[in-house]
Amino acid sequence: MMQSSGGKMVAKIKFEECLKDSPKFRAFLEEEEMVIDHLEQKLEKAIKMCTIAVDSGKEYVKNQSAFATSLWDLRSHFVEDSSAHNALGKIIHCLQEMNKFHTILLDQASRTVLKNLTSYVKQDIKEVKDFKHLFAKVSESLDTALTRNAQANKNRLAEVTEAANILSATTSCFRHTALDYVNFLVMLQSKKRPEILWTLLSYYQACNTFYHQGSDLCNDFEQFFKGLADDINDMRAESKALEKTMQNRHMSVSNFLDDKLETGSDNSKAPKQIEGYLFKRTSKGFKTWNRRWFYLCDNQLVYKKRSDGDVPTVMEEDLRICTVRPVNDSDRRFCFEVISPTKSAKTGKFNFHIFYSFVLFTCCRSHILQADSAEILQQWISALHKGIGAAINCGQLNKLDQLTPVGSLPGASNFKKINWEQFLKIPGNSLCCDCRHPEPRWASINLGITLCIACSGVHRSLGVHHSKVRSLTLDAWEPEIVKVMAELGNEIVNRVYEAQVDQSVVRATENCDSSIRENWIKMKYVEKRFVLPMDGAVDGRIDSANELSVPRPTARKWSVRKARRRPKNKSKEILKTCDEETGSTASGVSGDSSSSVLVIGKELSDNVCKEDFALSSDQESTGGEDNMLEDEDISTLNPNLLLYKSAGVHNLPVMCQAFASGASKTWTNPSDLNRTALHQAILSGSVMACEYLLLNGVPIDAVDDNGYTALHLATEKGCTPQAYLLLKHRAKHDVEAIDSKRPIDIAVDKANADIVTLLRLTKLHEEIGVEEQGNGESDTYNHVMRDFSQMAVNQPQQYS
Amino acid sequence: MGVREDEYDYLFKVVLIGDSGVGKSNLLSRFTRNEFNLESKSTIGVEFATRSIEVDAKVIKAQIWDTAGQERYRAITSAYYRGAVGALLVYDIAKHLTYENVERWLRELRDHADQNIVIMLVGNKSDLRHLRSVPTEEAKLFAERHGLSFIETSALDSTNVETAFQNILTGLFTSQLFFVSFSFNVFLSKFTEIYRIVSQKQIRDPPEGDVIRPSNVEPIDVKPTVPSNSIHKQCCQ
Repeated sequence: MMQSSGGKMVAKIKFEECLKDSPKFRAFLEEEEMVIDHLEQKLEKAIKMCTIAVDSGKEYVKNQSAFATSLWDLRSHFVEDSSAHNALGKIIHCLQEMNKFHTILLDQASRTVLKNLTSYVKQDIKEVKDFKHLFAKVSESLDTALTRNAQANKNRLAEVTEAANILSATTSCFRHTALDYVNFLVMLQSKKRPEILWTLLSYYQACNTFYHQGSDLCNDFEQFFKGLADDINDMRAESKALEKTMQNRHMSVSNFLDDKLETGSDNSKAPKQIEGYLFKRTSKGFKTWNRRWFYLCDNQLVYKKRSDGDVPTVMEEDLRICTVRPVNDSDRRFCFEVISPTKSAKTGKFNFHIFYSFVLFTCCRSHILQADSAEILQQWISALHKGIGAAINCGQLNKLDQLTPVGSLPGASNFKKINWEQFLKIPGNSLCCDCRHPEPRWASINLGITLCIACSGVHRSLGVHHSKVRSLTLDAWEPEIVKVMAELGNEIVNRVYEAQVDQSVVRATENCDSSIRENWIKMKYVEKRFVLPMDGAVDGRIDSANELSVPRPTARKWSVRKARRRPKNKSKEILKTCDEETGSTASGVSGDSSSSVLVIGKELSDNVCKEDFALSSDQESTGGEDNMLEDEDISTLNPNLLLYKSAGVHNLPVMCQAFASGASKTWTNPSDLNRTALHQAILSGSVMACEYLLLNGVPIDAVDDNGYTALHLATEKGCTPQAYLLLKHRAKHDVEAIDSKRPIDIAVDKANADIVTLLRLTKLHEEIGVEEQGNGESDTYNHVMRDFSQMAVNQPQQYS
Repeated sequence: MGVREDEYDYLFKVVLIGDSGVGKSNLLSRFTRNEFNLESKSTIGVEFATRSIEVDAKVIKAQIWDTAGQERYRAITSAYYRGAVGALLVYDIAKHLTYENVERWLRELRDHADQNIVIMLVGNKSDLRHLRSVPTEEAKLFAERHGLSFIETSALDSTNVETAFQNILTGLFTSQLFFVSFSFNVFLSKFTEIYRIVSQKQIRDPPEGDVIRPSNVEPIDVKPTVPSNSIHKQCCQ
C-alpha cells in the first residue's frame, strides 16, 4: 500500500508538463515545496523534543544514580543486621542495573532518533532547498533569454542568431535543471517515509530491549524478592508485637514512682540509690531554673545536664557538712535547699540590702532545688538525710583513691581531691612527728609534717610564723601544698630537727603531760635545739652515732643536688652528707682524690621512698635530675647560701635544713644581683619550692638589683603556675623595675596570654575589691583563678 | 558621659569576641575613651574597660572584656565567659572570612558562656563601603535566624558604636528588671524571716560593727524598683 502511494506521487506531475514549464508544473513545485517546509518544521520540532527528552532522561539517570549512592550509605546503617544488609544490597543492585539499562536506552534514542532525523533535515532537505535556489536562478536566466530573444531585431541577423542560440542553450539547461529538481523533490518525498519509520522503529526496538532487560533482571531476582516480602511480613508482625508491649509500659508509668520509693527505702544504706531530675536555681546571673539530673555519689551531691557528656558537676563536695531542709516560703512548690558552710558570702549582683544582710547573717551557701512533686520532694529530703548520715558514718573508712580531679565544679572549692590517707604514706608520716602518736590527723604545712591533735594544738599556739596547722581530713588541700608535703615528711624533718637529741631531754610521748609536749615542741621548732649546727658539718664534728654519715674532713667544696622524691627514683639525695666525687662528676677538680665535694642532700633517704607512694611531686621541672650546681668553696657554706642554692635546685629537704640552721628569710645574695631564695626558686621552675618558701614567710615582693620581683622573673620565664602562685599569695603585681617595667609589661612583651590575663584580672579584682566588698565580681575572679590553678596542676608539661 | 563612675546600680560584664583584626579593641576604646588607633596591636589575653551609662534613671556600669581574637594570644577560655551577661560578636564587613567564623564563635559561646547570655552581632568597619564583602541583609538574616540582635558599626567614624553598646546594655537591663520583678516577691517574703533570724541572732550574740541592726532594718521602705505595669510592658514586647 505504501508502495502504491509512492507511485502516485511520481504520477502527480507529467514529464511533459515539466519540460513545458507549464503553470501546472509551477503549481506542483509550489505544493511540493510547501509540503517539504511543513515536514521540515515538524521534524525540527520532533528533534527538539527528543533532545529535551534525552537530556531530561540523562538528568533523571544521574539523579537516580545519586539516589542509589545514597541508598548505599543508608545500607551502611544496617551493617550489623546482615539480612537487611543483604536485601538492601540486592535491591540497590537491581536499581542500579535498571539505571544502566535506562542509560543504554537513552543512548540509543540519541543515536537513532536524533542522529537520523537530524541528518535527514540537515542534509536531504537542505540539498533540496539549495537546489530550489539554483532552479530559481536558471528559471530566471531562461526568462531573460526569452525576453532577449523576443526583443531581438529581426534586421540584425547576428543578434537574432545569438539570441536564439542563448535561448536554446538556456532552455536545455532549464529543462535539465527542472528535471533534476523534480527528481530531488520526488526522491525526498519517497525517502521520508522509510527514513522516519525506520528511525522510529529502531527506537521502538531499543525500548523493547530496555523493557526486556528489565524483565529479565526482575526474573533473575524474583525468587529472592518473594522471600524478602515474606520476611518483611514477619518483621511487621514483630514490630507490632513490640509496639504492643511498649504500649503496655504506659501502664507501668503510674506505678513507677511507687516502685522507686520502695527501692529507696529498701537500700537505705546505699545513698546512691536516689537519682532523678530536679530544678536547680542558678546561683548567678538571672537566677533561672534549670532542670538537671541529680544523684549522690561518693558522698557528694552531683548533677549533670540531660544532654551533656559524662562529667557530672559537683554541687556539694562533702555531704558531711551539709544540711537539707524544705523551703516553703518560695514562690515555687516542692522546693528544698542544701546548705553548706562557705568561706565567701555568696551574694547576688543586686543592690538589695535585705538580700545582703540575709546572706551576711546566714553566711552559708545554699542551693535551692525543686522537685516535681511533694512525694519526690520527701524522697529527696530523706535520701539526702540518709546520704549525709551515711557519709558521716563511713567517712573514716572511705577508701577512695581519688587522685584525679573531679572536673570543673562551679561554686565548690575545686582543688585536686586528695585522699588524706596518702599523706600517711609519706615516710614517717604514719606517726605523729612530735610524739609518735599512731593516728596523726593534722599537719603543719610549712614544716611538712603530720601531727596528732594534741601536738597540733601546741603547734597552733606557736603562731603561724612557726607552724601553720591544717586538718588532713577536713581542710581543702591546694595542690602546691600537697607537693610540699610530699617532698618532706616526718622522717626527713626529724632528721633535721631531731638530729642530735641529748639523752637527758624529755621527749614528748603519745600520752605525755601537756607541759612536756609543749616544752618538747618549743625546743624542737622554736629554739631549734636539736638541729645539727652548720659549721659542725664543715668541721667534720658530726657525731657518728646519728644517722648522718661522717663527712670527710677533707671536703673542700660543697654542692646541692636537684632532688625530688618520685617513686621511680630509688636512690634519693635527701639530707646532708658528704660524698667523695671523682673527676667524672660535676667537680671541676679532676683526678685529685683528695679534693672532695660535700654534696648536700644525698644517700640518706635510700630507705625513705616507698613504691606505693602516690602523691605527685613536681612534674614541671624534671629535666636534669642529677645535675648539680657548680661547686662552691666550703668556706662559703652558711645557712643563707645553702637555702639560696637549694632553692635553685628545688631541694626541699635541704631547704628545710637551711631554715633549721637559721637561714634568714630576707637574705639576699650579694654575688648574684642580691636575689633572694624565692628568686632562685622561681628560676628553678619549681612551684613547690616557691610554695615552701612562701609558707615559711619569705618576703614575696623582694627585688633584686634590677628591681625585679619574683613575679617579674616568673613572668619573664613564662611560668604560669608560678605567676599564679605568687598572685595567689598576693604578690604586688605593679612593681616597677629599674628599667621601669612592670610584670604586665613583660608579659605583654612575651605575648603570654595566660599571664597577661592573670595580671590584668588581678588588677581588675583589686580595683573592684576596693570599691565594693562582697561583689559578685570577686566570684568570677576566684573562679577564674581556680581554673588557672586547675590547669596548672592538670597540664604541668605545658609549662615546662 | 555625665555619670559618676564610682556609683552604679547595675554592673554588667560584656565580652567582645570575634576574629583577630575585626576591630574589637577599637570599638572598646571608641566607646569608653572616644579614641581610635589606626595602628593598634593585637590584644594579648584580655583587656578591660568600663563605662557607665544611664537607662531609666538607673546607672548601669558596663565592664567590658576585650578578648584576643588570635588563638595564640588567648588564655583559658573559661576566664573570658564566666559571669558574662552580654557578648558583642564582631566581624569585619570587608573580610568575608571573619563573617564565616561567626558560627565558630557562637559555638564557643554556647560551650562556655551562660545559656542566657545576650548576644549582639556587630559588623564593624562599615566605613569601608567600597570594600564591603558581607551584605547587610545577609548578616541581618543570619542574626535573625540565630536570635541575635544586629548592628553595623564603624569604630573609625564612630557610626553606631554608642548605639551598639547602648542597645545591648539596655537589653540586659530590661531582662534584669524582669528578673528583679519576678523575684521581688521572694525577697519580700524572705524579709520577714530574715528579720526574725536577725533579731534572734542579735539577742544571742551582739552584732559586729558592719552588721545592719534590726532597728536599721525595720524602717527600710521596700518598693519595687519599677511600677509593675511598666515591667509587664517590657517583658511582653
